[in-house]
Amino acid sequence: MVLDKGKLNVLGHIVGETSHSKIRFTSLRPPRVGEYVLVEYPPSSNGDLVLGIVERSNIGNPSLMVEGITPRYVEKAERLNLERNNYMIGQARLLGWVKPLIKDRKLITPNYPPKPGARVYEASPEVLRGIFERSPNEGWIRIGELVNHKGVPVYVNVSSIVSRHLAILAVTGAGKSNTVGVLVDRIVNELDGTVLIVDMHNEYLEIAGPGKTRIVEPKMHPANLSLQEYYNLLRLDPQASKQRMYLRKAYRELFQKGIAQKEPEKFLEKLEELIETYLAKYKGDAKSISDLLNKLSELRERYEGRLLSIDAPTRLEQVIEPGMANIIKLGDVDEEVADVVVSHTLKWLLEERKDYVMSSGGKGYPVPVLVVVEEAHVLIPRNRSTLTKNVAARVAREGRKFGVGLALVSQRPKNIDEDALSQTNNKIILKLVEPNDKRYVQNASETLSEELMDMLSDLNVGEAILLGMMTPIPALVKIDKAKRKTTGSDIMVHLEWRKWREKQGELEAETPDPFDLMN
Amino acid sequence: MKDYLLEIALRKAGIIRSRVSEANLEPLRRVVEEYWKPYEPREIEPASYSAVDGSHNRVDFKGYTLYAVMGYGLARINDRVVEAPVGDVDLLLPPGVSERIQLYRETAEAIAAYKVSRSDLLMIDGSLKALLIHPRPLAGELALRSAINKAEERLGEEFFQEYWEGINNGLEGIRGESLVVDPFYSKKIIFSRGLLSSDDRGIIALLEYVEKLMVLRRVLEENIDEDRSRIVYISKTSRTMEYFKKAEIGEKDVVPVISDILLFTYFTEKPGYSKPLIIPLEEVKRLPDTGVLARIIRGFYDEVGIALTFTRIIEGGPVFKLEIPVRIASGGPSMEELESLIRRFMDYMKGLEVNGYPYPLIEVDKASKITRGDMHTIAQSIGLLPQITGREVLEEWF
Repeated sequence: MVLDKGKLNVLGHIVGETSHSKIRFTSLRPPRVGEYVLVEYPPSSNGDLVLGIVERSNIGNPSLMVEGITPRYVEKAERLNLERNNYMIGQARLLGWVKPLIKDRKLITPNYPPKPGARVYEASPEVLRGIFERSPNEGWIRIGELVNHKGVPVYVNVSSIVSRHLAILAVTGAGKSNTVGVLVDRIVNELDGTVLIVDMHNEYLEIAGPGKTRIVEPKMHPANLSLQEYYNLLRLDPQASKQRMYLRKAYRELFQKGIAQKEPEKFLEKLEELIETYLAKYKGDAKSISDLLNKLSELRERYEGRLLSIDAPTRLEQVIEPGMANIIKLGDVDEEVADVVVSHTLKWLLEERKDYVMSSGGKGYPVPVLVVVEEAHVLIPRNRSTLTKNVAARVAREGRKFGVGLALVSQRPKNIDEDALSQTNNKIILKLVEPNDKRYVQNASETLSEELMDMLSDLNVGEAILLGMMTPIPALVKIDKAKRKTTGSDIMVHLEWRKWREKQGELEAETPDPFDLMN
Repeated sequence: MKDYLLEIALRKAGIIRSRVSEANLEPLRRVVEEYWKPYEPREIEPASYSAVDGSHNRVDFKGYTLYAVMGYGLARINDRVVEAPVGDVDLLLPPGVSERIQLYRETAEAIAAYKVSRSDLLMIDGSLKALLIHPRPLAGELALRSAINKAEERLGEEFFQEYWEGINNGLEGIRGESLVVDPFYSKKIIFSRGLLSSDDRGIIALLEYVEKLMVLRRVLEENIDEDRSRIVYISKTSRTMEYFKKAEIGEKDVVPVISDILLFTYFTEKPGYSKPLIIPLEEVKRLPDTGVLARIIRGFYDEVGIALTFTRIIEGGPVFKLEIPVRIASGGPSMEELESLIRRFMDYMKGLEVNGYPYPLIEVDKASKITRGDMHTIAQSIGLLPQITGREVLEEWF
């Protein structure tokens, strides 16, 4: 693609001091925040144009820059065609040389500033297509189109998402689920990818279409759970040291005596029996042991045969089927239980993938997996410890080598563990309003400038800022609408009420009046 | 330094305050009572109106001066807003740089005024009387005569007739032009006739001064009809003391000398105006009363006078000076006609005022201002900066 400056539209000229990363320019029209511009440079081996993104746009009018200005003043000024004095100033961040970006797909940032007075051009659709349009054959999927350049599609690199992880952050209702829907559908259907979705509210439907979506009942074999997992399932916090001690004692005894291995299907029963024997043996701790037994009994009553099941999958492929969108429904379990299920599955996945890579495919789970963690602030929280948080930290560090990617989804970014969030090199940030959320996300992002952060409150539903290695350059994108119904939609309350009233009316009409019957 | 001056001020505070509080202003109150006429203007926005202002600035290099002048007119005519910028940027060699820049600025303002003439109200910032004052090289009677003689000798006896025609043609030519690179006809003549030596200083000053008077004549002709005037010069500050002079001050009275504008500001609060005084254009009367210049300039200005008045259009608002040029050839307008004219202008200005001052004048003041920053940009753009200005030692470019 030849860049002919003669065919580009001049938007304005650089004013003031420039730097290698920022410019200010006068503009013939108000530049749109998030819009791309092309900045003229003296010719070099990298070409003579640098791509920039508008971060700030101002319109000023000297006639109205008066202290203590009154409405009357403005009214009088308007009579003299106020707009003729308007000036427009844009501020843009310089991203990289256009030529290598299109030709070699390489982002090379300029290391010297453009000249004051240099031209600033509108970025043409052709140039932007050259930068953003990529092929599914190379592992790219379309996610939407540029907000400020309609018709220019934006693709994201799925390898980068899996190896460098992803965070999808937004307030409720800004389009997180739709974004997950678009990503998962295209990863599965266009790239035959494998995705595991941790669905905390049972809200995801056939996200990748029929035949490509699996609902996975969360099931774990009681004999396969670790001691720590039992602590969590039974809500034995570190202060419950005696209960922990007797559970540990019983758990170990079952394994040491080979009971767990011989009769795994009776693991919980044997565990309970063994602890009961402690009542007589350790009378001084009878209360603690009774409490423990009560908790174990409650656990069995609630989850045995369902979550804790002897027919739980024994192979990971039964949980995460390759080439499918696998949804673990956790809407019916407590957060502590969800934590155990997710950490258990994640740990299992990481181990299997390690085996696969280490054995060069001889054993282990055969394909890379993207794990989408909904409500990430619950499972990977900032100020408390969870099992998932520990495993996620390992996945974040090691997942790159073994093909396990994390996609953290949350509407409360500031409550996600800082380490986990900053390990997500890629970010899709939709509307965020809360200043602490924005600040927290900025701290966890290398490329989110102050100006882009300011934009987050003003994004419309479905609009997002894309950052990280998955995108050639930071982009303001309108996310596509997911083709399939990915989630249950909000309840239209007034319609539900009306439906109920109409139904009641019909029933009343059908029921004869008892007084009429008496007549 | 500030501390030093503050110390002096504090020590003298009592004396300074007593000078204000003990001043005997009573003899002046009587003048105000006699001349001030309360009038609450109606709020009428004229169907068309225009305003003119200008400014100048300079950068002194070693040996020469870069200057910029700007006259700026703005009009609202038939719901359309028209801008009329008239400017020039050039170099001047000493002597007389300050006067010449001032002259260029005043001529640029006059041309801008000409371009936005023909509205119901043309407001020009400044004083008409001050515009007629001769520049320094022509200040004395002899100097003026000598310059005229030299000019006629060098350029021909009928030169000023051609000059008048040239200026008229130029004005018509640039009336609709948005950008005129060389707006001053005098400059064209100075260069084409080789008037570049120091001996020619008087002729140059004369040409530039006469050009201003000629353009001004066209502006006044366009805006003063026999029965009514549409043009007013407005000054926010003034040193005029025409009313003050009328105060009957006793021999023993110690009265401070104050300007008329301060007089009316001090003694009045409500809207109104001072009964107008007709002031003849004395300055122009020093031009010869025979020959071409007499015919074209003096003949015209002899028939024009200034109706001087001070007005306030809102209660507590500023008092400003109005100079309304009027024809006085056939006795001029009666006092009643003049006051009716002043009241009409006040009605119009009330329709346009913000904080008691016509907004269009605020707008043209801002639009015409040439700042030091502008001069810096201009000097850099044409490659004159950075260069030696003499201020580098202060780490300033100019």
